[in-house]
Amino acid sequence: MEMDNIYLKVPAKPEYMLVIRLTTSAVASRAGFGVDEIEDIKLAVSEAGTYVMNHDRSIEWLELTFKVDKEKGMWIDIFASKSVHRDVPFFDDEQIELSFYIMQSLMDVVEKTMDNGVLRGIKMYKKYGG
Amino acid sequence: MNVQASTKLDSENLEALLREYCKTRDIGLRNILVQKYLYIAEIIAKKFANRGIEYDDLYQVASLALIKALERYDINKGYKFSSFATPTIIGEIKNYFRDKSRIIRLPRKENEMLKKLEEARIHLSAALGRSPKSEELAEYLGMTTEEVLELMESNQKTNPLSLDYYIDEDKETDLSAVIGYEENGYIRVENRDFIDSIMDKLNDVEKKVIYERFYNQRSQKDIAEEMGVSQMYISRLERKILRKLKYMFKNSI
Repeated sequence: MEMDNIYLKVPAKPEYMLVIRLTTSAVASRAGFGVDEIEDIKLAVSEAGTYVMNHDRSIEWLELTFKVDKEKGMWIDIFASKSVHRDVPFFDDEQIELSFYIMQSLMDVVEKTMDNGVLRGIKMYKKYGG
Repeated sequence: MNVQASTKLDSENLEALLREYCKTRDIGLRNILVQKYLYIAEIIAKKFANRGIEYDDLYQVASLALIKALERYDINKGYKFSSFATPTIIGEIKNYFRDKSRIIRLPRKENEMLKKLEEARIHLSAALGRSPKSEELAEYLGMTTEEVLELMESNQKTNPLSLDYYIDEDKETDLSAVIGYEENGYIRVENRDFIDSIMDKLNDVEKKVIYERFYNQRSQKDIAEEMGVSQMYISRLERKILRKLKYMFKNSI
């Protein structure tokens, strides 16, 4: 199995979401996804970014790993600089969970990455033609 | 009462309402719930805006999907309503994109210019009291008349016509009747010509095998019995002839 890995580390600030989105679309396009799929992946990734950042505003950076398997699909791993603690409720739970449901509807697999029982990031997978 | 307590109370209330609605399926109750959950439709519709369809349209679609989701939701299955509604709404929005978005997409620049053209058309129609000429549109937009005409043409081209669309006034002829198709006649003539020319190069047995196999569509076994040989022999012979034909075909082109 041949995997291409792409890494991106950006400050966890809203203004860098654009960098994440553009990188995501470029990688997804290289990976061979169609325009509609690219839009879906982009939306899911930015949801993941906001989801993590909305949980905890003291995160310093986000690290994204794209793993492209040219035959099957693409894994995207979004990782926060530290474990995410819900310090302040910015929105009520249902609204913040909505982001997660949106990711699940757009991607084939969405998982929360836990670190000692605390959220650390989100891992998602999109397969080709699905 | 602080904010957190009030939202908590609210969500408990909502759940009680949902439970009640799942039991009675009362339409008045449904409408109240739709109001309460409309924010989900709004949030999701916003996420899909800027993909070529107006936000207002998406909000409509999402709201309708929300109603559908409510009607199909069963609280006893143990899911949260929002986790059930989100995929339903996204699914409906995606269907809408599939149906409504243009099959042939214009470059973004042309899309933007088309919007400007439409604005100019409305503005000039109002200002002149009649529909503007293409020269007037061109002058207003600061481009050439040809460019305006091209834009108008490209706008047309993105809407595919139905094959059942009548092209005459009597509604007798539809588009599919006059549309071109691939003419196979020529290639058939060429193939026949090729087969005639190479059949001459085969010996009588080979000719017979090919003729019986592919013209009369008989089985290898059948031919073998008639010729008094084994089926294996015919099979091998057939493969050999076909290889020969393939070779000749390659060399003829």
